Amino acid sequence: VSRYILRRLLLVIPLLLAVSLATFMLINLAPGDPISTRFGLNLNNLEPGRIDEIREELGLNDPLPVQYVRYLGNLVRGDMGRSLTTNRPVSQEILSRLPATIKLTLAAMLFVVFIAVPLGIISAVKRGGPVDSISMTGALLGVSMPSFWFGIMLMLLFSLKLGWLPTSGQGDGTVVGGMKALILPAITLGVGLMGLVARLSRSSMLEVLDQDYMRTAQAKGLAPRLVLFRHGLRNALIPLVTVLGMQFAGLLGGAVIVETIFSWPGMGRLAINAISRRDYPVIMGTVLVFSVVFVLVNLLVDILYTLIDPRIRYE
Amino acid sequence: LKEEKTMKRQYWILSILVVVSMLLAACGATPETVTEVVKETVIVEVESEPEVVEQIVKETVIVEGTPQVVEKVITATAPPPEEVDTSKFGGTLTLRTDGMVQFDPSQCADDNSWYVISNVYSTIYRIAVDQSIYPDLASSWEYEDDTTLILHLREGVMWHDGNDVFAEGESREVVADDVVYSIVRGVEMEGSTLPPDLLSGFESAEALDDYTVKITMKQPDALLLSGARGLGHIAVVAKEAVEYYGEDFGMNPIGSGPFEFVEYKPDEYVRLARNEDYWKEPYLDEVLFKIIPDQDAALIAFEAGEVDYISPVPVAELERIQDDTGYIVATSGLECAPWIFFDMTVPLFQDATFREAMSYAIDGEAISRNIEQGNYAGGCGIAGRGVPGYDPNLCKYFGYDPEMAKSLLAELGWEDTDGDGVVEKDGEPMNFGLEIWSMDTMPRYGEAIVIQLQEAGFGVELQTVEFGTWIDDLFAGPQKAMMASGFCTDGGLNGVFGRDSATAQAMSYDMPEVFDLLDQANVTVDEGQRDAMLREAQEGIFSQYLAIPMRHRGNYSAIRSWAQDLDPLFWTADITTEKNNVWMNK
Repeated sequence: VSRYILRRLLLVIPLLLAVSLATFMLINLAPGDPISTRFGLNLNNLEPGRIDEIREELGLNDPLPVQYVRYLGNLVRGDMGRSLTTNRPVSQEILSRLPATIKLTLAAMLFVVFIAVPLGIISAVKRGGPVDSISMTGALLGVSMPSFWFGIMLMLLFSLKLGWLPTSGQGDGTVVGGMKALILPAITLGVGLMGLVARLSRSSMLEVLDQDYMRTAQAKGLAPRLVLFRHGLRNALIPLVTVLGMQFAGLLGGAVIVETIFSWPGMGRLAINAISRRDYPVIMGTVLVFSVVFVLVNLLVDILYTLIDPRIRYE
Repeated sequence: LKEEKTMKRQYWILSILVVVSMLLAACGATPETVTEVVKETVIVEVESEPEVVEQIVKETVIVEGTPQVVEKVITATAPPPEEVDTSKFGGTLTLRTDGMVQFDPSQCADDNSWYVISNVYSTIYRIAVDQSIYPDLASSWEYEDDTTLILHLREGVMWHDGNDVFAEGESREVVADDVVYSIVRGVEMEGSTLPPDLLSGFESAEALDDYTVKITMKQPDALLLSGARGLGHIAVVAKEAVEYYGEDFGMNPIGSGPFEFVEYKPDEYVRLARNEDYWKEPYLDEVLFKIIPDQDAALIAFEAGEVDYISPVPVAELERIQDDTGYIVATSGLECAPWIFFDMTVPLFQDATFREAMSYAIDGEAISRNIEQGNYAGGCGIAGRGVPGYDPNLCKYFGYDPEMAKSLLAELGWEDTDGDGVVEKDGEPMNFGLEIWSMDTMPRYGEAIVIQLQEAGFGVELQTVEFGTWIDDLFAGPQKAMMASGFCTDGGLNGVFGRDSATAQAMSYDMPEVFDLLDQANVTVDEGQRDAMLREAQEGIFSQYLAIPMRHRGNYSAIRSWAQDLDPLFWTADITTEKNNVWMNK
């Protein structure tokens, strides 16, 4: 397994090269110029010819391949450049936001796993009953509701009407404050996925419940709960883990909207602001970090398979 | 509360009078009175008038061991009522912003970051809601001649201490050299965000002594001491801090203002704490600039009491918020209108009749009313109400008459001969672009305008781009009509249509009379004369339809009623200044 992990980790390098090249080309093909975005109408204050000089100093006049290779060289040395708007090192900008996004995404994922999966399983076991109908209707609603609307509704109820939870930010610095601040954004981020996972876990469980080995287990006289959890759930989990792994990256992307509504200082907002200000180094940095997280999560999912299903072996 | 306090003071005064009268009575006691001990004083009746206080007091007095009730009438003149200062120290003022960039005053182009800068740093002067100016670091100033300004600095203003640059208790005084350094640094900095008129007109700055600065301009500058431009943009920085932090200076502001910088959590908040050594002690413990990008979420946070100030108030909610007694809705008085302007190298736009036809096809008033709702303020032109150059009659040029638009187009040979809804001339359909940026309400304006133009037969295409692209296209000579908003403060007219302005140059405007008037206005310090010149210049621009404005809109802010002495923010946040000191009545 360790060789497999090493091989997978090494595969990250060409992947990152491809991602960085694609991002670099797309940014440079897009209309506009970071200099004009930075200076706006104050561009007029610069001495004639000075714009070209600044472009020269920043290396923006070099051919694109030269610019790209220079960027890679700096990246290898751990230098992602400086933000064109704040002048802070890009690595610092990213590091100050990454934990917030990871925290939010993990909380949303926990919410999904601990609510949606049990709901799906109960619905499968009690198929056709009221619990099934209610939970599946809820799941459909969860998938259908746009997060920007759902987030505002939650805020109106829990922050304005009831005054239980804060509307924005990461809390007051205390553990309880932090947890309270996390609840609404995590639910908002996870609700769409919750609907999907509840439906998927229900159908997956239904499929497993029909299998011969389930009947055998029941025939052996095993307790129903043991049959359900040891034989049923474990087998139903494999497709779920795949989906959850893939969706984790999706949540990272979806966090952009939720982070904006709840003023959550994460990577999504950093990326959006960078794009609107054409802050090239920050755009490159955020895309690369998203890619790395995506690859690592997928690797983690592959490793989880071996724990869930002993038949799977990596060599 | 004030009445209650006044009453209490009257009681107190009366009690003293009672005791004094008793002492006098004691002194003047009859020979048979051996001892007189006051056991009890009961106020039976109190009559209070603005100036005369009268009371009847019953006293139980022991005279030679026998209790007696003595009735006295006391009349006194109350002192004139004084203003009761109920303000108190403590608390945090939380202001909503939608983002922060960095805090180097010479590189700052956004209002939000200026809110922080204007509290951490001392500025030369401060700007009131009515855009008049009043002292800050400079306690007074006077012109030596048309081009020479003398600033007299406040003494004893200290740099913040307890930081990387000035250790606790080892700060130094802010002196004239610091002001000179800050001005020169701002003027010489590449891509400086100081106002263009200051950059182009600045000649020199010199410290005459520790508290006197002499500023020399190349020519008289009417905007040098204005609310929106000029020296108002000079926040005084410490050379030591600039050199210590180098490229990171913008993220580590150390100033001499009423609040010290504590921390900036990107995309979350900026926290400032009271500067205990400031020349006027701030009431607030802290100021928190909370970053909430979403306007609806900001309103909920405001109503939930998490933030004390939001601006702007969403137009759909303005009336409801205005009706709530828990909130104060106020306007900064800054009224702006979006406006269309033209690349004059395009032959189509060179004809004033064509531009006039365009203006007749657009119902600017209806569009603005619909989009701005309660924010609608009426008025046309670049200069808003209260800004020099404002002309209340300018809208007379911009009536809505689509039939007139069509007839003017027909005069120019543009007619819809093939019935497709778009006019043609010499067999060629009309085709031009209108480019707008994608922020705020601009797309809504753009869509409404283009629909009305198309209904009148204009062959126009709406092009919505992000701001950076809009700027690029403008400087490249866009070959189309462009739409912008803002620039409505004093000096904005020059900033947009001045001879050297970015827009006039990029769009190849050639209007010598207007340029001359605006140049002249720039060097005319007399406010009345300058206002007349700017009005004439606006008349020259808009009577020729060189730009087509929508209608002015207000800029409403909402303040929680417990945030006392807080005015709507302009481009600075004045929290503790010579004129006000915000406190929390919570």
